[in-house]
Amino acid sequence: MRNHFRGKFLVVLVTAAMLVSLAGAVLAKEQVTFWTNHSGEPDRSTLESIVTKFNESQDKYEVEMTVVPGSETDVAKLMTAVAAGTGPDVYLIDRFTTAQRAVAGALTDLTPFIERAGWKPQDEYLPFAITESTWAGKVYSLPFDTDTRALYYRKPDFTEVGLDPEAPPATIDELTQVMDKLTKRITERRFDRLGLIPWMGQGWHYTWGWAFGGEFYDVANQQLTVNDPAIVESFAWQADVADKYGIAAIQGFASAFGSEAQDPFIAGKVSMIIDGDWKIAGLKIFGPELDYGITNIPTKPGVGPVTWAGGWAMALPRGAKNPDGGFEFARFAAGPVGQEIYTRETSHLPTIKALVDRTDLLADPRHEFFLAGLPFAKSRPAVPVGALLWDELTAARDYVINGDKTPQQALDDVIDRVQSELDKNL
Amino acid sequence: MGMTRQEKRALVMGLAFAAPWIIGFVLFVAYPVAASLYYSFTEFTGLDITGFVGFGNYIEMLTRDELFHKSLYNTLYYLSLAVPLGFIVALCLAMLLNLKIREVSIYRTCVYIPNIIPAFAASFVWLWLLNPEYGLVNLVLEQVGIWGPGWVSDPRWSKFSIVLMAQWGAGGSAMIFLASLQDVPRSLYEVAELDGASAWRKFRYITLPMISPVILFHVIMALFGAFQVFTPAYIMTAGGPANSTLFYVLYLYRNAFNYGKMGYASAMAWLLFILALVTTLIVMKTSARFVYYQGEER
Repeated sequence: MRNHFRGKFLVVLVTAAMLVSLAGAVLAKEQVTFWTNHSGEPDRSTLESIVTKFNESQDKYEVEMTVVPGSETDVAKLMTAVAAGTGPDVYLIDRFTTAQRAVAGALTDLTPFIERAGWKPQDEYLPFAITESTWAGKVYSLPFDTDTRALYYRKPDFTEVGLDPEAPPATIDELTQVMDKLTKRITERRFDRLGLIPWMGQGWHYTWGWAFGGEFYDVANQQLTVNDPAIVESFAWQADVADKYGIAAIQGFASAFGSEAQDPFIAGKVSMIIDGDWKIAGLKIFGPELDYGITNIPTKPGVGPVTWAGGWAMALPRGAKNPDGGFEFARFAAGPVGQEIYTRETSHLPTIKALVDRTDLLADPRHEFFLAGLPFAKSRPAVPVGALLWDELTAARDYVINGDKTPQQALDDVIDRVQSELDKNL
Repeated sequence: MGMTRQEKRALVMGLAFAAPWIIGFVLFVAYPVAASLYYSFTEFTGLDITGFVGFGNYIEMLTRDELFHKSLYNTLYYLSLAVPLGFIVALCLAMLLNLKIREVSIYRTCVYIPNIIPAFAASFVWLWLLNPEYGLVNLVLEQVGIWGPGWVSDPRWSKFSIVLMAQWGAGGSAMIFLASLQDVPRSLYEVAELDGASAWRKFRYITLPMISPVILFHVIMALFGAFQVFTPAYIMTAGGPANSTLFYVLYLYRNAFNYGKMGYASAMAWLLFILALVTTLIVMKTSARFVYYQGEER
């Protein structure tokens, strides 16, 4: 009798469970998959909270976020998945590679979705950001965050060597002198501290090329101009620095350090560094006592304040199973709601015009300096060979500082290699 | 050519039982290999074929691509140092581990342990050991009055540093050498000892010939490994500084996945295959004089 009762109970339970799951299947939201390679914090959890916010905001789609391996230019995971037809609906890509991935056939053209929505992204986003997201007149990604670069300097070091901590170097010549003053040697070729390692942090080829007044790309003629005399001069200046302090000595010294707790700027091993706005968050955690200043990147006289902006974008890979849901989420995450959350939680800068004045979103007043740089910020050429150009410029810079090539030769060689690749895609 | 019914049945059954392997081989080995040969004659982004270029990729690679030459040079440099050095280190370790001492099994375990640590993790540890300012390696050197170089940050040292690091994995080969050392008949050594042979002569005229087939095996496997060197450069140096550790396979990977030039990368892969094949054939041919198989007439 007792067994019989238990059996009946089980039947009822199973039937109920089936009914519930049936109802669930009918009412279930459409799945949207979202991939990012942002595995670090606070970026990752902030993206998750944007996903949660989106899922709560409507009942049609359910976004699921997955962190995948990859980096700014390494999208092997995405490419193999798209080729196999198992790609996600939305992928967060480094915005300056949009054209490259679009030409490779990895992305869905968003223009039809935008037109159907009767929306003008050009009105919503900062011009440089939407330009980076566009190739051949078609929009392939929606701009997400951005960032700018500046010179960070340690005020106590300035005081120590008799420099005014409120008057940081403004020109390249001043910078060169200050670097020398701040450098402390143990022996001729060993350092206790270097004033500045030009290529450390965000001191990229682009940073100095622009600071010397150069231009990397002629948009009208679709010609690379990386052998612009000003850029050649910026490479020559870096070669001079390498020569003066000894390249092996500098690189050995530089490679001893890392990020976060091993940051050479926090450890007082370099007095100045070119870096992005995200460094403020790191300094707060790993060097809370440090008294530092932020100023414009020193330039050649007459070049004016220079900075450059990067950042990421939401793209729909080709073969997305749910492109409508993907576009819906991309627009939400890259829209005012998503960007407001991201700006507030991660202190990256927004690319939405309406959010650019919102200093209240910035966790630290020092971010305002970076926000103020956005109106004149430069961005990397929106060409389908962005990743190749970046790697080639980096190699050229390495050749020059190691004395393997002259600046002119190294930069001519970059054009030789990259322009032909660019022409193939025009 | 007629088959009996039983033979036919056996053939069908045989094929049926081998089918999982045959299907797997065709789908996951033969087809991709054939496809990559085809892709090597095209412009292929990894998703779309945008043009058929015949031998264009090969010509570009051999005649114009400066980085291709540099990456080939880097790999050959690595190979010509890492293979002989790896052989010497592994054989020396094997001979030490062949000594009759009580706790030898502990040493054998220690020597083998690096092989079970993923290359990925080991690379990070090595980055710290080779750190120019705070690394253990330079600390030890400093004690004897040498100011060590920036091992991986100096283009003149970076390739050599990776060669040195590779010796960390010598334990695996040492185990194979050890097994073959123990296969050498004791009686040969006893005869030689009766004739008053020195330790060097015993090594030169008994040990080396007797283990020569294993040496050949080791050299060929090491050559393959060296042609494909990738992980340490990918993790530790990203090919730098100044492309000094841009190895062949790393450059291939970049073309395939960073620059969307899968066709070009396929062509590189085929050229590497041919290169490895030719090198192996040369080694096989020239080794016939040095390799002794037991039971063989000389």
